[in-house]
Amino acid sequence: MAASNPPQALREAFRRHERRLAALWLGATVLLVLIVLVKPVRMRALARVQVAVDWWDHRWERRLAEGQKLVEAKRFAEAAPFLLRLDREFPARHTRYGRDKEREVLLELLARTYEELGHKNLAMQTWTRLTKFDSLNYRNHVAYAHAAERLLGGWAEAPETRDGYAHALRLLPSHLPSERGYLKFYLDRGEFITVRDSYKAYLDAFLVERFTITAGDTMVSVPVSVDGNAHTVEFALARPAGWHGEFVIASPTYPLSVEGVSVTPAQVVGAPAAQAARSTDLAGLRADRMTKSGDGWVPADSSATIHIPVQADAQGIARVQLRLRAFKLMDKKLWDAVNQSYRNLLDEPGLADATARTAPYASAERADRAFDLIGWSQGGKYNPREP
Amino acid sequence: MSRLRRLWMRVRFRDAFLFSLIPLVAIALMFSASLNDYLRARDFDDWYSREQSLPLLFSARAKALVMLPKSLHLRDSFASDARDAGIIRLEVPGQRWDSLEFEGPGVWAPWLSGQLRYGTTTMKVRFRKRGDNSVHWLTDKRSLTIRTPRDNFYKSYRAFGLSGKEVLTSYLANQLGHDFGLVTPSTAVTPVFLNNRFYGTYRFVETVDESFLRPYDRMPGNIFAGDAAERGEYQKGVSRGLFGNPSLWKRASKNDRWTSDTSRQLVRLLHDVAGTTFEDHQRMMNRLDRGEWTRLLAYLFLVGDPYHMDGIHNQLLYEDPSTQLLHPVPWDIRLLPLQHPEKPLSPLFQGVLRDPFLADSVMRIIARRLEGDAFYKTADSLLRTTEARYGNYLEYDRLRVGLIPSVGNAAEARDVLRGNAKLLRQWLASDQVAFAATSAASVTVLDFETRGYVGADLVGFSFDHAPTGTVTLRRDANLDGALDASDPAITLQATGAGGATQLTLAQPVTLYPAWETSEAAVRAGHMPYRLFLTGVPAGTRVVPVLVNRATGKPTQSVPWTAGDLVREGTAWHPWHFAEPSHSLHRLSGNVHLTQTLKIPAGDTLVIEPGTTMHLAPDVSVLSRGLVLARGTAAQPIRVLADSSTKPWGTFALQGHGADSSIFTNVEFATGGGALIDRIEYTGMVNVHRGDGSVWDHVYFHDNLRSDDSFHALHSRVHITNSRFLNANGDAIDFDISTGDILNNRIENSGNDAIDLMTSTPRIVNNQITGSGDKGISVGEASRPFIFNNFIDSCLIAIEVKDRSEPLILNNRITRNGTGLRERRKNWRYGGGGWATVAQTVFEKNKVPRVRDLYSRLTLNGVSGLDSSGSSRVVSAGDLTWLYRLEGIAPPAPNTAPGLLPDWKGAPLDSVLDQQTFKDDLGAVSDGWMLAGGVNRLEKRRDALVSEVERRPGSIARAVTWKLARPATLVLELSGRDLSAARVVVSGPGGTVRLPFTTGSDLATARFVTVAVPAGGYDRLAIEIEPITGLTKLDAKGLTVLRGGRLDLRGYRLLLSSGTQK
Repeated sequence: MAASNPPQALREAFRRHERRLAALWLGATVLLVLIVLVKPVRMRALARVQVAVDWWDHRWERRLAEGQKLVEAKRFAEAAPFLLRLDREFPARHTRYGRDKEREVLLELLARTYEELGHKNLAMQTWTRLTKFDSLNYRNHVAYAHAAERLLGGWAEAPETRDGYAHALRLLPSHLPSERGYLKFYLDRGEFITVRDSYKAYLDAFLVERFTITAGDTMVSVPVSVDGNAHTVEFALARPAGWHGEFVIASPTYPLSVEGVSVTPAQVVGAPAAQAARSTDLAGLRADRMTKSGDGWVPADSSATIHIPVQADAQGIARVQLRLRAFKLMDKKLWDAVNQSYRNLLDEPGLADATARTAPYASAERADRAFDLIGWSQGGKYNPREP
Repeated sequence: MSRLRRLWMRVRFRDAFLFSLIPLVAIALMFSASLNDYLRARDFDDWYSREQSLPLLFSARAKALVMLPKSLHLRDSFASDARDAGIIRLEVPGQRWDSLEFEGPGVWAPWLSGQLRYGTTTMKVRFRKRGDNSVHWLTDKRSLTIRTPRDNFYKSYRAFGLSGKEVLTSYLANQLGHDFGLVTPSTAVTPVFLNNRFYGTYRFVETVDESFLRPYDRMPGNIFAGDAAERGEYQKGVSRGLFGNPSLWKRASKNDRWTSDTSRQLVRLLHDVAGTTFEDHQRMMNRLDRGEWTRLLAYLFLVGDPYHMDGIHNQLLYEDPSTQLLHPVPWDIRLLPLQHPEKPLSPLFQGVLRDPFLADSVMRIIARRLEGDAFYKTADSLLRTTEARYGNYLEYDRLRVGLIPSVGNAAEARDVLRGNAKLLRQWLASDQVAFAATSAASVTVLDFETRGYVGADLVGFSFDHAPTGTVTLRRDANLDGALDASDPAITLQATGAGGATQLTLAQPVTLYPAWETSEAAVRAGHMPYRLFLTGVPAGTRVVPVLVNRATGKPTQSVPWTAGDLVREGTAWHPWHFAEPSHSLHRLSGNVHLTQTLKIPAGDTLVIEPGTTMHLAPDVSVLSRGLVLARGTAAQPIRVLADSSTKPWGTFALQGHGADSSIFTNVEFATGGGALIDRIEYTGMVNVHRGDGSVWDHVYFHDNLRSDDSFHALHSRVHITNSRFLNANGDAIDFDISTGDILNNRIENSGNDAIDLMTSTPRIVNNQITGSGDKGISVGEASRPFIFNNFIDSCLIAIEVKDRSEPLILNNRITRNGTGLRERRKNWRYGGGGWATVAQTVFEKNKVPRVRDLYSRLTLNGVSGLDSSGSSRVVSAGDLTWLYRLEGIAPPAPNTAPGLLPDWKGAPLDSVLDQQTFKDDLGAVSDGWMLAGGVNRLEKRRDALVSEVERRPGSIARAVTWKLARPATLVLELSGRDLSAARVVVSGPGGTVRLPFTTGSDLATARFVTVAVPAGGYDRLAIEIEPITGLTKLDAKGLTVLRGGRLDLRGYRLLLSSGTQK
């Protein structure tokens, strides 16, 4: 009977146990209220809920990773609809949102997928969306310029390529790959005046980097303008009487030349001795993990250093003055082309100035690798392991 | 069976369910709302959103639920129509308001439209959410930016922000900046009502743009803004430090002159900030206004926040075109405990504080501000006033903290201020100086090292026994450590009793402090000094007499061991800095200048009578020091061009070093202006930021190329008995300047004879003829006194613009294209002018008067200004009080309008009491109360506006006038639709009533003069009665009652004092 009419049986069972159920319900309610009222319990319970919510909220990153896998596996036909849907649903609508870097990766994946599927227009539209999404990210403009090179270039490079690099240079005027791309556009067209002017603007672009100088167990970090011009930097560096050793200048990224070193001995309390700066002989200068290029030393890797021997002084050292020339990144091939542009314009003074301010890396790859060593250059990149 | 059991037996599951429903629904609602808040916070990743957690959000809601009865009780006491000008009332349709939460792809904070209630009227506004991180938009109290239309400002603001975070403490910290004379955005605490419901308490903050500069009397110029710290603003993959990356900066205001150096000065500044040499430092300091940077740092230390204007945001630098100096604009300053430093100072602050003079001045200002707890008292008064005015609103917001950002707390603010004062007092007492006196041969080497936050003045020496010979003290000025001929001697005076055991320095040697600023906390650094004492026998014990630089108290030195190495100072050594030379330069005879002559500050240039200076094309004379060019009628000084076709540059005085320069009997001709050291000189002759220069019997003529013959900028100058002929543009151009323009002849100017911007000169007894544009152009909030001038044959005789308020008295204005033109030209000033024209004759002008809707006028005794230009005198009234107020004695009382040939100086009347009205966030009617049929009383457009309907009414205010002798009360007012009006002054001294009429044009005011007998008075009232039965059509086309209106511009109570002007 019960089996043939289960609702009836359930109703009867419910009626039979109704008071018990009511007691249970009330007990559960009281328990819930207690959980809410007792702070430590509430906090712990809600923290657990939050973990679950976080996991659920992490679905965007998981979906993005899935899309990334599809693209890496070259399954573009599957990747396109997947990424398109993700793009529609993705919560970051503006760079103010937390997942803006993820959105940039998503747009990049989508654009690449379109490219691979041969949808040039859609691909360029997506690259354009990327530059508009974060117009302050020079990398987006560089990516757009690269895409324009691939997709729009014919017998000559498309103006979109140049515009992409020009945008990137407005945001980061000392970005060598962008400068290279921009110059290439004009070199191909034989517009040497623009090449010269752009190169000069590149050299003049404001760039101040800190260089670490070590003397024994003391280390100082000094800012130097990286523009190929010689600059004097001065800093206090206390070394005891009779100290001798060497100043070690670390330059993992930028080519460097040292044009002068002078040290000022310390005064001694009560001793009226004349205190005069003393120049240090640069004959013993030695560069480790660096190669000579132009007037400068070009780093071979991140451990590159320049060593300047310093003679002992009875009064020790109080102050150091260096004359340094730090060079912007440049590669030999591009420099040769720029050099030729100056020659074509018969601009001998300009060429002399540019030559003095240039110490090129042997290859573009090495110069670009050096750029990646700069701390700030890695900022703002998507890191999937980020919480 | 117990009753309880019987009850339980009757309980059904439905009853239990219903019984539990209330707590369950409450918990479910709180949980879902918290979850929603948490998920929204997860969309962002700034500091605020990262701080959010589900437990905290739930707890905040639970707390708010507990506080709900109190909150509701408080909210019931808030009325959106309260008579408080500080309350902001925004009206926005609900759907539009909700759309603030959602943006389309790639769009952030679009502008939305709404309405702002402004007194009894409303205005259309645009608004958007504001803020650099999610604390400003994630909660139920969003921060907003509001912008009004160009032709209708709210109070005096075109755009302003409403920030919901740390309202009270941020207001306090930022408001205190005004006390230090800094260019600081206006700020206030303001309750905001949204659609008639209280929405939250906010900090009102003015937007920094070009309009912001105007009330501070600053020329429009570049404002460099470095404020890109948060998402959507910062650039990925580049150096984020503002001082290492110029491309992160924007310009909040742009100098659009062709001479502007755009952002290049900023780039140069960044180079100098990054520089490590003394030359870099000097260049950097020469770009900054030292006074303002000093005051800024003192202020920031006192509020405990020298950190938030840091290397990545909150940097605003105003570039003054008159000096090219950069001025700081404090932005988003917080109230913080100074003893808990957050991070190192910005590179710019670090660089600035390496200047020992500046660090010293900072500590001296701090010492003054801490004296008698002055700074704390100012802050406390601000807190009390705010709590008294808006305490309930703030309390309401405090009850929902967690759901909205904290609004701050007065008690905590006071604690922070006390803590900062305590720490800074410790700094002021930190004046340690190490000292060693070492005898070597005939010289005693005196080594000092300051080791505290404050320096010390070395005022003398005491010896254990009196030196026998001549004692000489020399300063190692060249810092080479050895005594040499170039080390200057310092005069010593024997002051000690009993054989001169004490020597006093004629001029104290200041041992400046040096600070260490490269780490998170600002610490006391060290600075060595060396002096040499000769004439003191070996073995004599020398003890320096030192005085704390900030407090003036004696300082004890601590011993310093001979043979120790002297450390490099942690700032630039004060003896590195060049001292002014005070040289005298003389020019006489025929002088040919082929390159610009620059006289540095501290030097003097004397140009002898009879000198003729021939300047090559574009060559100038620029003096930062005093110039004395005193020619005679027989031997005038002449400044002329070398070339007949090309102009020379400029003759310019720059800065207060040139104050009180004198030019008499000098002729300037064919100069053309110049751009020197990036400063534009638009006149043939210029005075920039110089006071008290005298130009008497000077003949300016035929300037070429340049706009002005004479240009004063931020200056006080006196131009008398001079002649201006054939000016290329304006003959005299005053920008933010004052002084006298007396007894001059100005003829055939290409543009204006006298052009004023935000200036207040006295323009008296001048003859102005044949100007190509205006005779006198009164623009951009100028307030000149224009008296007894003859203006003839100009295109426009006088033009009054942009909230200017000239007093135009006893002038004769004839045969011009237009007699008087009033208009709004520059919308940034928020309105037209309000001229007072009295006893002036306009005749034979083609168009007597042109006026726009934004301008107003007060008339008294004027003829020829009506449309027919008739000679009928309008609104003639007794103006004796006005003459006495300006120190003028007319030849006879009640003279006819027009020129006064024989006026003399007269004793000034003293003003016992006066009031004008500025529409601000303060009181609605500045103490005036309405009564009877008056249904509107509020400040609007520089007047107190009252409207009366149906029955008589009055406006009144309490006064405390105790008059020993009779006085004159003058009211300036206009009105319409009033059947009767009277002024009533009453009190124990009696009651004085004076009926008056107002006319029918609100834009034309008149004076009402009341003779008040001696006695005590405590009430000033104006009684008004409307004309009954008048109607008007309202915005919906309905016929409504039209009341009467009275606009009171202000009043003055004058008492003849007998002071001679």
